[in-house]
Amino acid sequence: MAIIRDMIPAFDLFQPASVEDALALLAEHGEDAWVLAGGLDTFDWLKDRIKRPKAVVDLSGVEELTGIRDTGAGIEIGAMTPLSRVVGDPRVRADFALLREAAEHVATPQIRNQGTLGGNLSQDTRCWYYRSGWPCYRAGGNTCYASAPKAMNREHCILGRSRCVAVSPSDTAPALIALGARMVVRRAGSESIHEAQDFFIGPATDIQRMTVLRAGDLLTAVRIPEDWAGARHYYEKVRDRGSWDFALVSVAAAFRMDGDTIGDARIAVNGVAPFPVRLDSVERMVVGHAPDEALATEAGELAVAGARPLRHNDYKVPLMRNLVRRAIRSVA
Amino acid sequence: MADSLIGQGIRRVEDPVLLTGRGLFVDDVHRPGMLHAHFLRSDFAHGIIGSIDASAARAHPGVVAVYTADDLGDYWAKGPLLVPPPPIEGLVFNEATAGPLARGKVRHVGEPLAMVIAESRYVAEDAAAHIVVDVEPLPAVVDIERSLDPEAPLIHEELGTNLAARVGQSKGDYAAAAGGAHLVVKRRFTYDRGVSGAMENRGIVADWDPVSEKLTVWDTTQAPIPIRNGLARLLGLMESQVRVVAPFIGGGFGPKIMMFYPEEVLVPWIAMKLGRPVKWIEDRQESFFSTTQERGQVHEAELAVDAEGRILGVRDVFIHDTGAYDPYGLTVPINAQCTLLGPYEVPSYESEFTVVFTNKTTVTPVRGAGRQHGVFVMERLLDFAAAELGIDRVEIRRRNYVPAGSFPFNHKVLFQDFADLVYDSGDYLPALDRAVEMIGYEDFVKGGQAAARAEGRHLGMGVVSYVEGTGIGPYEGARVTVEPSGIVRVATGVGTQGQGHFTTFAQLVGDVLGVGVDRIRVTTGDTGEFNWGTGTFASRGIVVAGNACWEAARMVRAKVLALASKRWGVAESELELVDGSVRVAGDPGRSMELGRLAVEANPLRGAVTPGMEPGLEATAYFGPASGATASGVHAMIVEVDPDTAMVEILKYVVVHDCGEVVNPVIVEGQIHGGVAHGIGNAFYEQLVYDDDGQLLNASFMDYLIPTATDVPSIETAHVVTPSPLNPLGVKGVGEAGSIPTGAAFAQAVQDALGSGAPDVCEIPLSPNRLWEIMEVAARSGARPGHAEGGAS
Repeated sequence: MAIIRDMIPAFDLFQPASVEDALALLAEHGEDAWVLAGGLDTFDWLKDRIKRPKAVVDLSGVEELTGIRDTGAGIEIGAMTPLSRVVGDPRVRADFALLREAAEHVATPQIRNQGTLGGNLSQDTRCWYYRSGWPCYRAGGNTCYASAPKAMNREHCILGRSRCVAVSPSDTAPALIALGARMVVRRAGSESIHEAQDFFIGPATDIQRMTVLRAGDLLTAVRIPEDWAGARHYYEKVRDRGSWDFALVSVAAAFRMDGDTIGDARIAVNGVAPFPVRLDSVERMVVGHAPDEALATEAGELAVAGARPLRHNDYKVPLMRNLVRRAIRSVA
Repeated sequence: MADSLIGQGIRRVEDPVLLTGRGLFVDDVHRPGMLHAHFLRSDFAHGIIGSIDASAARAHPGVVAVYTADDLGDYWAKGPLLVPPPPIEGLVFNEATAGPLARGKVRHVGEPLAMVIAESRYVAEDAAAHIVVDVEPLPAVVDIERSLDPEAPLIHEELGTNLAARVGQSKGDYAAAAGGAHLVVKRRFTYDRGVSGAMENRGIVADWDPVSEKLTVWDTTQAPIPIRNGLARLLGLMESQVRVVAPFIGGGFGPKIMMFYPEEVLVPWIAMKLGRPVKWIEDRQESFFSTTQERGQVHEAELAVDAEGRILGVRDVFIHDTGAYDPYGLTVPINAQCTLLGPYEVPSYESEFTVVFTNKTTVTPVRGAGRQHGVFVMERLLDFAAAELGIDRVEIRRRNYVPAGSFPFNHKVLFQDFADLVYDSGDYLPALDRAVEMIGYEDFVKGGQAAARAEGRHLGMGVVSYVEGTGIGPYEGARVTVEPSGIVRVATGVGTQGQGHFTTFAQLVGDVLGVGVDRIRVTTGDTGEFNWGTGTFASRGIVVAGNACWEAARMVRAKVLALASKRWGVAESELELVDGSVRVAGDPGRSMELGRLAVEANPLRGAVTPGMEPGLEATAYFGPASGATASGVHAMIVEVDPDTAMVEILKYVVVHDCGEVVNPVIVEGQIHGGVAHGIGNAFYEQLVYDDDGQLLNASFMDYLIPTATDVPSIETAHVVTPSPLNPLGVKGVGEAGSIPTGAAFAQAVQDALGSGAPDVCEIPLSPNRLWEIMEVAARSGARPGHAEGGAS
C-alpha cells in the first residue's frame, strides 16, 4: 500500500468569514465536507489521496475563532488560535502553565505557528497502516492490520483497544483533561458543551471518529475553568526524537496540595490508548496522601493495571508507569 | 606571495546564492511547453504481472502518453552493472539489474510499472489511478537471514537462487591464531537498513531541441559525465549532442551517483520522442521506495587476542542485503570487509560475506558505504575483549594500532578499487591521546562516572577509532582559464551536492595564481563545461578533482610566468603573482593584471609561437594510484534515563586526520554533517518492513532523522599526516563523520548500562529496543537501579 502520490486532487474550496457561514456550509455538504484549520493534518491526507473530500471548508478567514479571552470564570480559547499564541499568552502562562507546557511540546516552532489548538485536538490518529490507506476498520474496512500477529506496532496502544489499536496523538488533550476544560461544539442551530475527556471517543463508540465531532459539527472553542488555575502541575512527553515528534507516552497532571498531602489531583496520559486517558482511579488513590516514593510507585502500578501490550510495544507499559510515578514524585 | 589561501577557513562563496534562494535546483527548471511525468509503482513487494490496462488513463483529458514495459519496444533493456566484482579468487557473483519499467515480475514495492506523461503532475496522478494493474502476489523475501532458505521464493528465477554473491578473503592462519589465543570473543552484530534522506529528492528535466539536435538534461546526479555518456549510448546520439547539467543539488550521500535510475533513462527518451520538454520530480514518499538505500547486514564475528589484548586474528562471516537488484556490485560489502581491519594490525583475517536478494528497495552506497558496519564489528569486539581481559578500552586500542613508522601499510586484502588495501599514511596514537584528553577520559573513568551514578545518573562513554578509505581513482580533470576580465574560470566534471567545491577549488586555484576567491568562478557538474570525469563519491572530490584543479592552475601559472618573463626580459624567478596581477618583485612599475596578459596571450596580430598556446588556459587530470586513508577517533558521553530509556548525548569529540586541510570550516562542516548522519543511524533511523515487504514508515513523520536540536555541539581537532599519493597531501573527509558514530554510541550506552548489562550489538538503538535490552538485564537481576527494580 505504498503511497506514492503527492498532488492534491481537485475539490471545491469554501472560505467562510463567519462561524454562521461555516456552519451553514458544513450543514449543506454534510459527509462530503472537510474542515481545514492549520492544514498540518489535512494536507498530508489530501496529498496522499487517502481522504478525498468534495468540499473543503477553510476556517482561516473566520476571525471570531481566533483569540483567548477572559470569561470571568476562566478563559476561552478560540479553536483557530495558533498553538504558539497559546504558548505565549500571559494568562495561560500565569494560571494554566500545564497547557502552555503541553502546547510547547507540539512539533516545532513553525508548526506551532501554523497549527491551531482546535486542530491539535481534532487531528486524526497516526497509525501507519491507516495513514497509508490500508482498508482497516477505521478506514471502513473489516480488519485491523496493526494488531495482526505479525504487525509492526511499537507506537500503538496498550489500553482501550476495541478492534482499532491506534492512539490519540494530541499533546494538548491530556493537559486540557487535567485542567478540567470543556469543548464548545456548534452545528447549525445548536451548541453543545463537552467535558474534555468526553470529547475524545474510542473505537468502541465509533471506530471512524476520534472525537464526538460528526459531519456538520465544528469545535469552536475550549473553555478552561478557574478550578485548576495556578495549580501545581507536571507535564512530560517522551518521544523517540527530542523534538518534532509525537509522544510515545505523555502525562499531564494538576495537583492541589493540602499541606504535605495531595488535596486534589487530575491526571491524564496520552499515547497509550485510542483516546487520551484520564486516570480517575489513580486520582482517587493519591488524594489525601503524601506524595512519597511508595505512593508514586503504587500510583504507577495502578495506572497500568489492565494494560495489554501488543507485539512490539511492551515498553509503553513501564514508560507509562514511570511517567505517572514521576508526576506524583514531582509534588513531593 | 601573500598568506596561502590553502588552510584558510574562509566562508563558502556559494552560500550567498543559496541563502538568498537564487541557487538553481532541478525543480527550478521550467521550459516552455513542458510536460510532467508520474510513475505508477508496484504496491506489492513480489508478484507476477498479469496485465496492465492503461486505456482509461490514456483517454484521460490532459494525458499525452502512457507507457508500460511493453510500450518501450527496443528501448527496454536491463540497466548496467555499474561496478563489476573485483578479481577475488573463488568469488561468486550473480548479476541482476532492473529494466526501466517492470516486465513480467515486480520485485519490490515502488518498482515502476508505468509512466504517465501529462500536461501537469496533477493530471498525471489523476490518470495513474485509472491504470488497471493485475499482479498475482507472491510471498516476499524480507528477512535477510531467510533469503537462502530452500522454501524461500526465488526473486530472480533465472538465477535459480537468491544468492547475489559470496566472497571470501583471508590472510594468515586464523584457525591457528584462534587455537593459540588467550581469549576468543564471539558475537553476533546487526546493523539495520536506512535511507540517505537527502533534503532534495531526485528529479530530472529533459529538453530536446530538434533544430540544433541537442538534448539538455538537468539531473540530480552526483556523476553527470557518466550519465551523459550512458544516455548518448542509449539514445543513439553522439556524446557532444547531450549536455547533462547537475546544478545545485540538495544532498547526494551516494544514491544520486550514476545509477541510471528508470526515470533517468526514460524521461530523456520520452522528451525526444514527444518533442517536448518533460519533468519528473520525486516526492518524499516515492523516494522511500525508489531511491536506493543501505545498511542491512548481520555479522557473526570473532576476535582472537593474547593475554595482553594484542590482536591475533579476526574471523567475520556476514550477510549483506542488496535488495531486489545488485547494480552496484560488491562495493558496500567489500568496504565493510576491508574497513573492519581499521587502524589495527591484524595478523590473520578470515572474512566471508554472502550477499542476498530480498524484496526490498535496491541497496547501493550511502555515506559510509559499508564502512560503518566493519568499524562497528571491530570496535565492539575490542570492547568485549577489553572487558573480559580487564584491560582499559583505550589501552587495548593503543596496543593494536599500526605503528607510526610502518606506512605505507599493506593489509593484504583487496579493496573496492581492486587494489590491495594499503594505508598511505597515518599516525593514530596522537589522535587517540588528543580525543581522550578532550573528552576527559581519565576524570570520567576515575570518578566522574561513579559520582554521577551515586546521584542516580547513568552516564557512559564511548571512544572508538576508525579509518576511511577515500579519494579513489580513476581520475578527474579540471580546466582553468583566465578571462580578459581577470575573472578566473575553473571547470571540473564532478557534481556538487553541498561539499563546498566552489570554495575549496577556488582556494586551490587562487593560491597558485595569486587571485582572491571572489575573482574565481567554479563550475561543477555541467558536461557542457567539462567533458571528462567520473563524479562525486567515495570522499574523493578534494583528492582527485582538487589536485586536478591545482595542477591546471600551476600550468596556467607557468604560462603567465613565461609570458611575463619574455615581456619584461626578466627571469621567472623575479616574478610574483599577487592580487590578480603578475609583477616584477620590488618593482611596482612592472605589473600587469592577469586579464590583460590573457588578452595579450590571444593576439589578433602576430602569432602564437611554437610551444605556446593561445590565452591563459590549461587542462589537467589527476588519477591517484590508490586511495588515501583518512582516520580518526570519536568520543562521546551519553546519559541514559532508566525510566524512559531515552539517551542524551552530553559531549561529542572528533579528532580527525584528513591530511592537509584546505578549508578547516568546510572540513568541520563535513564532520558535523557526518556525525549528524551517524547519530541518525545510531538512534532513530530504521525502515520498518512488514513480513510482506511493505515499508510502513515511508515518511519523515515516522522515519526520524535528527534535527538540529538532536545533534550536540561537536568539538573537533585535527591531526595532519599528509597523503604521499597526491601533491596536495589531502585525504577525503565526506564520509568520516558518519562511520564510527554507531560504534561509539553502542560503547557509550553499554558503559552507561553498567556491568552485567547484556551486550549492545546492534544499530539502531531506538528507546524501545534499548528498553528491551535493559529489561533482560533487570530480569536477570544483573543491574540494580533499573526502573523496573526500584527508584533510580
